Amino acid sequence: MINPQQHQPQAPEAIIPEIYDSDYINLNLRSKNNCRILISSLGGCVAGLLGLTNLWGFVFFVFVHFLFCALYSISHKSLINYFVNPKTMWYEITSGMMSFVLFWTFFSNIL
Amino acid sequence: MNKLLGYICCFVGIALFIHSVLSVIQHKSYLRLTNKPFEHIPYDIAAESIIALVIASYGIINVAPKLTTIKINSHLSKRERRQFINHNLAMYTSSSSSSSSS
Repeated sequence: MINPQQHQPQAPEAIIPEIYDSDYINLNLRSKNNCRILISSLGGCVAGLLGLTNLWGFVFFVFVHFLFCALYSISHKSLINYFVNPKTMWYEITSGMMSFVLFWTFFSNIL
Repeated sequence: MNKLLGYICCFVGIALFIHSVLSVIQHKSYLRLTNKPFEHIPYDIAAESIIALVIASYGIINVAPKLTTIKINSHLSKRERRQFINHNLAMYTSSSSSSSSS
């Protein structure tokens, strides 16, 4: 017999968990990475055109990276609907570096 | 409409970039003819190339395929009942074929 004075613990309210679809996450990430690679290669062309050498080229790459992140955040209003962690985009600085260095050396040699 | 703007931005940015490359080549040939040393490219060409980069990157981001929402609730509510039935049938046939082969 339960004492009526005793406070019974109530069951917690049902919370629907947010389940993500991995196919759509991969599609969005691939689309973003393709954009980043294209913009990094174009930035490498501009860096080679400007005649930047050693460390200034990497400073320019950081500028290109932040330009991409800012434009991507502006053109898509709510990124939280499309990525699990949209803020990690700002830290993934090395993902477009290879194509940047390739086009940087190419353009600084032919010009 | 947004995609058309993206294509226009891509075209304008790449055209500006090609123009700045041709300007640099012309500037260097001028310096070679007049026997002047090369120090840096002119500032207007540098500004033009950076503006070209900004315009072309805005265009590339707009041309990219549209993002889809990753939350599964929005997709499941739109999916029809027939698709679920087909999905179950496919699972049933695959399990029966594997049992018959063994």
